[in-house]
Amino acid sequence: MLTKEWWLLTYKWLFGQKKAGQEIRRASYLMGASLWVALISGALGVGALSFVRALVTGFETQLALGVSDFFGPLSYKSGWRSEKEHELLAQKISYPVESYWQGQGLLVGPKTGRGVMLEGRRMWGASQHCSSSNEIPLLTIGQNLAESLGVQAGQNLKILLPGLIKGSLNVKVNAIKSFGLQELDARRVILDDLSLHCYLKVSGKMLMERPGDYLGFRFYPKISPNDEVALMGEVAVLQKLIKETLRDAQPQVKTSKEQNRNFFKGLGFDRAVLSVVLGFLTLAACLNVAAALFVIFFERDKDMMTLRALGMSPLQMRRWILIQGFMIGLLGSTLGMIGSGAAALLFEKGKLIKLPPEVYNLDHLVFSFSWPEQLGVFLFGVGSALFISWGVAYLLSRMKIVEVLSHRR
Amino acid sequence: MIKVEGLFKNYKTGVVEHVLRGIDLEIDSGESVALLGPSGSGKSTLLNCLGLLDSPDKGKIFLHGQEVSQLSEKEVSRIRLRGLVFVFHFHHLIPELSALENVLLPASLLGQKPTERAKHLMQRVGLEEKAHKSPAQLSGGEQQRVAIARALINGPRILFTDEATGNLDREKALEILELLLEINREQKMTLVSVTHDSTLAMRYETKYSLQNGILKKCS
Repeated sequence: MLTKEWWLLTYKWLFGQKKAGQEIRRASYLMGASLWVALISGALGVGALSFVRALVTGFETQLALGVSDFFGPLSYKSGWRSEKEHELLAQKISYPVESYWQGQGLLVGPKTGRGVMLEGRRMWGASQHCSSSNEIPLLTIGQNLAESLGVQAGQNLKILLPGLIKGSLNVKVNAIKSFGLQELDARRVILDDLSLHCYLKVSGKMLMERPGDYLGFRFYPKISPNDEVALMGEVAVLQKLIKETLRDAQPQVKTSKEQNRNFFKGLGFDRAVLSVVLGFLTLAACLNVAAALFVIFFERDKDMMTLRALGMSPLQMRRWILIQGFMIGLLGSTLGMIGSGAAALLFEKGKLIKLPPEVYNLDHLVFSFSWPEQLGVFLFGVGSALFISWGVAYLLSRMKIVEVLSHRR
Repeated sequence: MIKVEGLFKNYKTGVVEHVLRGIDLEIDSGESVALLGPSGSGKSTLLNCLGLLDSPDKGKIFLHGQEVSQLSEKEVSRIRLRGLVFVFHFHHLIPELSALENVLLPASLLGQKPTERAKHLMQRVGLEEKAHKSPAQLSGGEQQRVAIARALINGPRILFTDEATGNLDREKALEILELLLEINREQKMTLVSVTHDSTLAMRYETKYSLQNGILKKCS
């Protein structure tokens, strides 16, 4: 049993002022220095691991939000189905639901023209009647596309939808958005289907051909795109509902991450590789903790063996060394986590990490400290120090008291 | 109280060195015993075996009738903690702790904090005024007195000292020896000391001489 006196002794042993002779002062100075080196390197290892995890998680979270913003947190490709069928399903869902169809088009702006992937969407639940605001089809386009076309929100453009409408249509840029990925911002366009429908009705223009009404659904439950557990729960609910309503035997409701599986798989791989590399670095840092513990205990083997001679059992000694390893691990890991948080704050406020603009349309990276993940990093740091302490304790418990305390030594 | 039968101990450092060659010994409770002999004669080795800090190659050691030469480290630690204790040539005090905290250290291994007893022991060794000083602020003799107080905190029945006064001048050495003998008489505690100083050894009730691994009782 280790009483509070032993915890106090541990503290004094590690951090106390040694008021001894010159020789002991020199030894304790070296010991103190190696202790701090160990603490700092342990802290750097844990800090680096925590920082990188927060960085990649932040990056993934941010991109997932952008992608989810475009594709919806959950989607279901129903195949071409009638407007009525879609409306029927949408009526059974309490949160916003959009139906969509997809096509290719050409946008012509003041500066240039661009081929785009067009998605026509209709939000259910809101009014489905045409009004004066539906006089012209409304578009939402990406930031990069807007810049290259030379258009701003509120301005009109021409769109050609070959195979769908003869000639060109005037459309109005209702909103300019950034979804985070260049590929989305430069190529994808969302067309408000209700406004298109009303415009065609008023203008007398006709759709040339359209195999059906809508291709699929975009669902917008109030769930974070990063909360995969809650999303999977909602997927199950939706699949059941779709089976009942649309008689699809095996409906495939997908999350935005699943729809962009390759991209997020790549990110996950990057994170795993970085974690393994940094895990090794942290272990290397923990070797410094080991070196410090070796110095601390083997430089003071006489004190340790005196305690053994006074009656400390090998088990008590091992436990005591583990306590010291735990204290070093705890302190080093805490310092590392604080350092990581401070560095993240500094990098985020200073916008110090820029992403390649040809790939990502993000101004800077946002850090995201996921508690389970960061707890794992913290426990890894403490656990490594404990593991190494166990090794030191094992070696010391095998030492012979007389060999250390003999006055002839 | 302490009984040794046919104790052998060899050291193998290239060649085999026969340090103890069949030691037989009996020490009564409360007896004071000096082990004399030239350097390298095996005095400390014998003391270490008696004090369970080292194990013999052959032979048996009995403490209070119980054979202790083949006990596990855990059992030996328990005996060391309560039954027998060592005072070494060097004081081996923990430099970060005060004198009083050093004295309390063995008691804290039992989960106890007998502060009053520790203060009494500090008084007994004549250092009550210096209880809160660190070991570095004490003289060699004072440090050794603190080590004696520390040895006594758990009330041991046997005290082993290995050249405990070897570092001190004659006057200080005599002071420490008198203190040990007083405690031996007062507490009926067995005292077994290794010394190479035959004048100091004269103060003990029983004297043994060890030469070439053979123990002989001195007249």
